[in-house]
Amino acid sequence: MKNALLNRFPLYSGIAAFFLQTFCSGLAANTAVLTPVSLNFETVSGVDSKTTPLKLRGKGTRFQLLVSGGMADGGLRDCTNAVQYTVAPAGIVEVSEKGLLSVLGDGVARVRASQGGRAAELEVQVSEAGEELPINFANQIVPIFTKASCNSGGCHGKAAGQNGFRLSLLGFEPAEDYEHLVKEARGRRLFPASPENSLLLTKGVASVPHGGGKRLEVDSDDYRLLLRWVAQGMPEGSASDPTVARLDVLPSKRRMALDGEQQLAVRAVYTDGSVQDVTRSALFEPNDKAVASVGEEGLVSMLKQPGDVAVMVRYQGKAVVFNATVPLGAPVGELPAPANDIDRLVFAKLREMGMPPSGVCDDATFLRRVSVDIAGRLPSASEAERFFADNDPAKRSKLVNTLLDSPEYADFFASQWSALLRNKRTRPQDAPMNFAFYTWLSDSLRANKPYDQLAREVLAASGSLQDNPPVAWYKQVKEPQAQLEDTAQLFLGTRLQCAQCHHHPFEKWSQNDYYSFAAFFSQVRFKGPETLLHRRGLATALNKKTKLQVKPAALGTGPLEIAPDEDPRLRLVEWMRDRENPFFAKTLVNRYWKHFLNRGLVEPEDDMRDTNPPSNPELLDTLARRFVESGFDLKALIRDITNSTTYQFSAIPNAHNQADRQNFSRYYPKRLQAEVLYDGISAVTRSKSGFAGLPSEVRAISLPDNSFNKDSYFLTVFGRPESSSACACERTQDASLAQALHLLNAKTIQEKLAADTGSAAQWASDQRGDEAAIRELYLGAYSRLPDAGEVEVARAHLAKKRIDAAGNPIPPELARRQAYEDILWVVLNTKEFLFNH
Amino acid sequence: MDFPPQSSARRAFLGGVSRREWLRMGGLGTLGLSLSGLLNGRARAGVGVGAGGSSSFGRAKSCILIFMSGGPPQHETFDPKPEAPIEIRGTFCSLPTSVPGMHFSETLPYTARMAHHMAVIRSMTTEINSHSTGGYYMLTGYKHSSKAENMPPDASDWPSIAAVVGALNPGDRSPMGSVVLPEPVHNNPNILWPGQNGGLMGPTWHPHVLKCDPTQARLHIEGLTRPEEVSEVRLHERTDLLEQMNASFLRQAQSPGMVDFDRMQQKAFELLHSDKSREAFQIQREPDALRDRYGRHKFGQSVLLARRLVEAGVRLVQVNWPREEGDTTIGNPLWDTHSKNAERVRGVLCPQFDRSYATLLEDLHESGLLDETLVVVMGEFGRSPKINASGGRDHWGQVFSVALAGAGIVGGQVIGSSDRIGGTPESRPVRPPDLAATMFHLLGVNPGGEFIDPLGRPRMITDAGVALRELVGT
Repeated sequence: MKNALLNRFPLYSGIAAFFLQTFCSGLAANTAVLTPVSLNFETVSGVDSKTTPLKLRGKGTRFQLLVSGGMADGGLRDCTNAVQYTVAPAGIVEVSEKGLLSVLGDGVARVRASQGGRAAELEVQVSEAGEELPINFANQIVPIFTKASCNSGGCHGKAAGQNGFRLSLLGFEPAEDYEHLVKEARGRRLFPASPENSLLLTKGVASVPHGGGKRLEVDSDDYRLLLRWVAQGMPEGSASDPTVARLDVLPSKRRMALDGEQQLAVRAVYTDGSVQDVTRSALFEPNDKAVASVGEEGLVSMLKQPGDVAVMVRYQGKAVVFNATVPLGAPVGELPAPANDIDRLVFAKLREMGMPPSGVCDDATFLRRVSVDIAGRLPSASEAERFFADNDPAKRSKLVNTLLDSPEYADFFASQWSALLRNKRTRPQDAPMNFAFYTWLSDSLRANKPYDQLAREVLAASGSLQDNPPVAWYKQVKEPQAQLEDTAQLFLGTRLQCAQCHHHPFEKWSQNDYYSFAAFFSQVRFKGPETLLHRRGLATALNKKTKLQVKPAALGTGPLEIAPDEDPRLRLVEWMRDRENPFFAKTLVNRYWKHFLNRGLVEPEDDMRDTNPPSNPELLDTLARRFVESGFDLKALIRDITNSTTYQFSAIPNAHNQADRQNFSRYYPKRLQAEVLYDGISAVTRSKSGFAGLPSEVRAISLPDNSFNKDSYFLTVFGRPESSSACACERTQDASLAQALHLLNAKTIQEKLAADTGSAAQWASDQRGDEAAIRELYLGAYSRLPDAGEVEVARAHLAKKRIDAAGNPIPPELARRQAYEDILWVVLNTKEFLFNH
Repeated sequence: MDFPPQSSARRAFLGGVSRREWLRMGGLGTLGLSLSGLLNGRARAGVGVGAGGSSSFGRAKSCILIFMSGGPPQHETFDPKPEAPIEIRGTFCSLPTSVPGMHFSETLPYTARMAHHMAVIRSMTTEINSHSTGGYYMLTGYKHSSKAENMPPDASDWPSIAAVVGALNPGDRSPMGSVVLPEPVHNNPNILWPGQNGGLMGPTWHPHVLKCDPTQARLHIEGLTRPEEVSEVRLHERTDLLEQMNASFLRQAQSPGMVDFDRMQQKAFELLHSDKSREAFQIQREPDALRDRYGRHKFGQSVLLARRLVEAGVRLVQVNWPREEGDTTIGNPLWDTHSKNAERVRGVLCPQFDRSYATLLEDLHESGLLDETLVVVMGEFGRSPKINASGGRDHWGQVFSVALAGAGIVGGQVIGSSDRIGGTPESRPVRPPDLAATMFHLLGVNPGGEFIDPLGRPRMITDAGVALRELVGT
C-alpha cells in the first residue's frame, strides 16, 4: 500500500497543470478571440478527465491543475489562470486562483472550472489525507539536489566533491548519494532529533556560511520535505519501491502566440504504474532562448521572436520535450513556384508560420553567394560580366554545375573536412602526411566519391600512411575513446562525451553505450609509427563504471556478435550507411544545409538529439532520404540546395520577416570564412598570398592544415580552426575587436592596398578612366555594378586635393593612387564585402 | 609618438555622429557578449553579485598583473633566508621593510619601502617545474593535464584569468576587455605557452595582446597604430567614406553577425579616434621624471603604460616580463637564472623590477587609485633553495612567493611561510585556484560561477578555488 497512486510527495507534488495561454496584449484586447468554446481538465496524458477521477492520497498533497480551452478555430489554449475554480463539497480539497490544488481531508469532491459560461468538472478522490507517507530518498530527495544544482559538476557533483561532501553528478547514482550523505557522516550533516539544525539544511539556506550560497528558501516545499525526511530518520526506501519509468509533459506540443504563456505539467510515471506530479521538481531549458523563457515552476513565456522552440524537461535522469510553435501570422500570399522538394517543405512551413518570404535575389547576389558557398571564392569581374550577359534562363543551375566541377570546390570543401578530421600539424615532419590527407580529401570530393565510402575509408582505414592517406586520422585521434567521440560527433551528430563519466544528462546514452561504441575501435593498432592494422581478437572495451568488458554496440543496436577475425570497424560503417540509420545521413545533410543556409535545421549542427529537435523535421527527413537514395551523392545534395528558391531568397527583409531566424524566409548573411576573406582581399587588391614555403599563388582555401595559422595573424583572428577537435564550433564566425582593428588599421592590410603591382597602383595609371576602374572594383568586390551615386562618391574622393602630414600638396599621380587605396580600404571594410549575403 | 593630440575638427566629428552612433550600439565594454552562449555563462557567473555578501567583492575596479616569466627566486625577492647556510641563502642580505618584522631581500630596496601596502604569500605551491605548464597553472588557475615542458596551446585549454575577466566583467569605459603587454610569454626558441588566451571560451575572448616596445620614441602597436603611410587626416577621410558606403547596405540585409560586427567596428573606431582612448597610449605625456622612476626599459615603461590603460578603463592589464634582444637562444633568459643567479638578479632583474614596481604602487597610492586597483606580482614558479654549480638556481614549483597590493587588501601582511631553506611550504600552502579565486572575487567575478563551453557544458570559473580570507575578509 505504500506509494500507491498519485502523490508520493505530499508536500512536493505539483501539477496536473493547466495550460495557460495568456496572449499578448494586442490580441488580448479582442476578448471574443480569447473566449474558449469549451474547457477541459487535463490530468494525465491519454486519460479522459471527464470519466476518470483524479486520485490523491497523503497528507498535504498538492496537485497543479491544468485547464485547456478549446477555441473556435480548433486550437487549444491554456486557461489555467483565467478560469474560476469552485469546489463542492468543502473540506476535501482547495484550489488556488492559479489552479494549485491542495488536499484537506478524505472524501470525494468535484472541482469546477468556469469561464464565460463554459465549464469543466473534475472528480477528485482523496484518501489517507491525514497520513504521513514514507519518503523515498531516490524518488523524492535526490531531485531536490538536482533542481538546486547541489549535485552539478561545479559543486558537490564533481568527482572529488566539494569541501568533503560529494554527490553523484545530477543524481544519477542515488545509492552512492545516500551512502555519502547519511552513512558516511551520520550525526554531522543530519540531526533527526532536531531536523532544522541539520547541516544539510542550514548550509542549504545559508544560515551558516556556505560556499555555494543560498540554494533553498526556508519553509519552501523542498525545505519542508527535507525536514520531514530527516525527522522520519532519513529513510532510503526499499528496493521494491517503484522507480521512474517514464516522464510525461503536458502538453507535449502547442501552437502559441508571441508573448503567450503556457504552464507545463510534468508527470513521473513509476514502474508500478502510479503517477506523480513533479512539475516543481523538474528542470526546464528552452533550446532557443530568443524564442521562449521558462520559469522554475514550468511556466513557458514566449518572447517577441516567432519560430519553434523545444523546452527540455528533465527529472530523475529522464528527459522529455515540449514543442511550441510561435507563428508570426502575417499574410503569406503568392509564393514562387517551388523548384524542388526543399521549397515545397520550406514554403509549407512559411505558410504555417505566417511568414512571408523575401523576394528571389538578383543575378549579382546569386553569383557572389553561390561562388562563395561552393568554391570558397569571389567571382572575378569578368565572370560577373559574362554571367550578367548570359540570357539562358537556366544560367543559375549551369553556374552551380560549373562551380561544382571546378577544382576550387574540391579544395574548399577539403579544407572544411580537413579541419573536422583533425588534419593537424603537430610536428614539422608531419607535413607529408598533412599534404597527403588533404589531397586525398580534395581528390575524393572532386571525383564525387559517395559520402558513405568516404566515411568508410577514413573510419576503417588500414595500412601505411604512404599508401593510404586517411590513416592520418588515426595518427591524430589516437585512443578508442577519442575515436568514438569524434565519430559520433562528426558523422552521427551526437555528442557522447558526457557519457564517458556519467549518464548523458539530456540523452538516453549511458556509460555502457559509450564504452560499447568504443569497443569498435578496440582492435586497431599501429605497427611501427606509420602502419595501422586490425589486430585479430575479440573486440571489447572496459566499462569504467561497471568494470565489465562490453561488446561493440552502435547507438541503439545492442551488443553485436563479431568474429575475432572480422574488423569491427567494418560493422560500424555498415550500420552507419544502412538506409534506415537515423543519424548518418541526417547529420551530413544538416551540416551541409548549415553551410549553405547559415543555420542548421538542427542547431548546433553536431548536437542532434530528441531534446533538440529540427526546426523543420519533414525537410530534414526528406533531405536525408534523398541523400541516401542518391547513393550519398554530395554534389547532388549541393545541387538540390543551391537550385532551390529557398537558397535564392534575398537577404533583404520585407515588412514581416526581419525577425525570422529559423524558417529561411530570407537568406541569413554570414561573415566570409577566414580563408575566403583573405583570398577575397588578395584578389580585389591583386596582391600575393605569400604563405611560408608555398608558391605565392597558393590561396588560403588550399592550405592543407593548420600550421599556416601560426604565421598569419589574419587567419587566426578570423577564426581559421586549429583542427584540434571534430567540433564545427572550432571555426568561429564571431566578431571580435581584434578583427575590426586588423581590417581597419593593420600594416599588412595597408601593404596589400599599396602594393606596387596592386589594384590601386594599376587604376591610378589606368588609361580607361575612373569609371572603368570603379566599375571593376565593384564587380570584383561585390559582383555588381556601382550605381550612379556610388560612382559619384568615389569620383568626389578621387578629385579631392590631398596633402601630406606636413600640409604640403601631394603630386597628382601619387594622390590618385592614395585615393584608390582609400576607396579599396573602404570597400574591404564594408559589410557588403565582409559578408556573404 | 603616433597618437598626437587631436585637432578640434576631429573632436567635433567624435562629439557628433560617431559618438551618438557609438552609444546607440550599446556603448563601451559590453564586448558583444550577446554573440555567444557565454551570455548564459555571464548570468550564471553571477557577475556583480556579491559572493556571500562580502564587501570586498568587486572592490578592484581594475587589475595590473605583473607576470615575472622565467621564475623569480624567492630567496632574492620576498622570502630571504638569512639564517640558512650560504649555499642556500646566497650572498645577499635581508633588508628591513616599512613593516616591522617583515624582511625582503636587499635586492628590493624601493619595494621594501612599500611593504605596508603589500600582502606577500610565501607559501605559493604548484609542484610543477616546467615553465609552460607551471605558467598555465598560475595564469589559468587550472592544472594542465601534463607536467611536461613545451605543451602547445590548445582549444581545450582553460581560459586565462585575464581572458575570463575580459569576457565576464570587462570595464565599461574601454572597448578592450583585457590587455596583455608587451608580448605573450614563450619558451626558447619562441614556443608559445598554453593558458594565455580564451581557451575553451573560444578565440573571441582572447585578451587583446598589444605587442609593443613603449621605450621607443614612437609607440607602435600593430592594429592600433596607423601605418606610417596613412596620415591622421587620411584615416578620417577613410572613416567618413566608410560611413557613407556602409549606410546604404546597413538599411538592407541584416543578421545578428552583422550587428555584432558593426559593434566591433564602432569599438575599433573608438580606440582609433577618441581622445580618451588615444591618450591612454600617449605615454610621452607623463612627466620625464616619472618615466625615469618607472625605468626607461621595456618592463618599466610597460608597467607605466599598464597604469595608463587601467586609468582609461581597461579592467585588467597583464604585463609580462619582456624578452631581451637575442635572448631566445641563450640558456638564461628572463628570470630563468640557471647560472649566475646573483649577477643576473643584482645586475639586471631586480633593479628593473624593484624600481618599476615600487613606483607603480607609490604612483597609484598618490593618485588615490591604489584603493581600487589590484596589483599582483607572480611568476610560474620559484627557484631551488640550493645554488647549483653554475651559481644559478633551478626550477622550483614546491614553494615560491606572490605579492598582492591595492584594492583594499590589508598591507604589511605575510601569508603562509616556507620552511627554513625556502624549499617547501611550512604553513598555509596556497594553490593557484585559490589565488585565481581571490583575484576573481576582488574583480567582481564570482569564483564559484560557471561559463558555457562550446559543447554546451557548464564549466567552473575556478577549480573549486576559495578566495584567501586574509585578502578578501570574510
